[in-house]
Amino acid sequence: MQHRPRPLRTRFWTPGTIIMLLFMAVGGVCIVARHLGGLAYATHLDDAHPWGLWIGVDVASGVALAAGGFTTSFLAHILGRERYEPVLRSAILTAALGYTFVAIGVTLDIGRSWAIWKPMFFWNPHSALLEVAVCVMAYLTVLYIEFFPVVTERFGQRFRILAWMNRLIGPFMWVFIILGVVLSCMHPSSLGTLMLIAPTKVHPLWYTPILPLLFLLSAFAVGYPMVVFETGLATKSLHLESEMEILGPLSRFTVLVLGVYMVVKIGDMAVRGTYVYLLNGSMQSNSFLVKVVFGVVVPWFMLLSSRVRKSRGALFAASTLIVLGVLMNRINVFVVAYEAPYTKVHYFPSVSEIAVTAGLVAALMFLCRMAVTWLPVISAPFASPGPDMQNPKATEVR
Amino acid sequence: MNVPEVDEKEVSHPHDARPTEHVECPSCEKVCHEVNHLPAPSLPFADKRVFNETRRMDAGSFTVVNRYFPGKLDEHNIPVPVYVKLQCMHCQDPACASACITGALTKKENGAVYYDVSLCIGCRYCMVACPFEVPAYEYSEPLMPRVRKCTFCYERITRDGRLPACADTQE
Repeated sequence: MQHRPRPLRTRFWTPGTIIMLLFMAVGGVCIVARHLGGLAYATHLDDAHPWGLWIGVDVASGVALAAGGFTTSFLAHILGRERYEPVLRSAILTAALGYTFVAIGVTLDIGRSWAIWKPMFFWNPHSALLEVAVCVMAYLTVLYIEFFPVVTERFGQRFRILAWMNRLIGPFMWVFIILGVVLSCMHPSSLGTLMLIAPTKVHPLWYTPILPLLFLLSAFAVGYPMVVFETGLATKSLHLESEMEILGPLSRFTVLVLGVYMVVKIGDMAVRGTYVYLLNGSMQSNSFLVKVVFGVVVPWFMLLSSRVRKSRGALFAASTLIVLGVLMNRINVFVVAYEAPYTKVHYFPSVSEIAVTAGLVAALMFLCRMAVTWLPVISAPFASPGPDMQNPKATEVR
Repeated sequence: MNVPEVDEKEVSHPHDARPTEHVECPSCEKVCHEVNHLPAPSLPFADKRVFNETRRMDAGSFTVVNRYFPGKLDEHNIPVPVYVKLQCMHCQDPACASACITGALTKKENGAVYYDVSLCIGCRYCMVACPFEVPAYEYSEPLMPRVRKCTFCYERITRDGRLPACADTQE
């Protein structure tokens, strides 16, 4: 039975939200420190390592992990599979918030934060980074537009201008949906293109001419696992009924897309002959192995089993592995694999860098929580306490 | 990428500084610091102890001279040193200029790879792109940090018609 999305109106101030607020406060202090003392004060970045945790995680991983938005949109709207609609709004919400924090992450990382507007007007058409910037800005706008009806549904009665704007956009929403899916195929691959300019500095296990393709495929592959992951967290913390009748079938697509990624990734290694580096015990090789084995191969085999796909716990575990795998892959490509050719000092993020990243993630979760509490995002009914909830498999999968 | 035609004979290339003709004098470093108003280094320029370790450019020095002993011995069996000057090589097809998101780094007609700070946002992609690890960054500057590297003495060449300061001072 399809439930309507509605504001959950659960109690907002819980131990969880207060902890998030604490992380945000600490992150906020570090952000101020970064702007008062410069990047040298707040980070361990240096001339040999211009990009670190903030680029590797906040920017590169943030973009990948918000991929649930366009993949679900593609399925529900473009392929017309309406049974996936109930998870669409939270997917778009996560994507909109995720990309907002990518933008904030970039603004903090660049040396001249106040100059963030310049790439809108000054273009070097040879730069892959320009494509990333313009595409992310465009996609962020599209995401806000796609989420706008949710806001209007809640506040349109009280603020007529919202309802009016919604009526203007409404007939063109299909343009934005298509644009959203198209744009989402462009910036993951451009992110992968970024490191192509540094062949002498990126470890051979990762440096491949098809790096853009690998980034794109992994962005596709992480879309539905991300939906499972965020839905699982919401279900648990908000005491909702699990949406396994949607998530289970959704994960069949993951098997296909992740499988393609796996074949291309391992095939690339075989074709270029870089498997010789796999077992040399270096930190980089081990990082590569952990990511491929635990982030791709293990969850792929798990998802092959329909029992796993129907089990709330196992599906969540497999999806989490994939999400962590993509996170690790981005950190690998931008930080672990990157070695300055002359300076042999190693980079490790500073406490401030970690605190800012944690603070941004906490802020993202905090805002997400606010949104599902007061906006009609989630459709799943509350789980009623009783024998039904003890048995997560009680929900039939069609 | 369109690279402007450069007349090799007319332009002085600092990176042409031939290692074997170098002697122990890093006055090029001193002049570079003066002309570009760079901070004084920890060891005075004439102090030969700077050669005890190999140095790289940083936000406060656009060029450094390092000493190496490749193994050649002179008639008294004393190792013969070779001095190599490091700085931005103003590449014909600069990776930094290709990478720069706003086009702050461009290859000028006189050969200089020129940094226009007014376009820079501080993304440091140029530093990722440069295979020679040349561009340095003013990480300690909170609001207006700049990418720092040899400028080819661009204003000195174009406005005053002179040679780059380091080339103007060789013994």
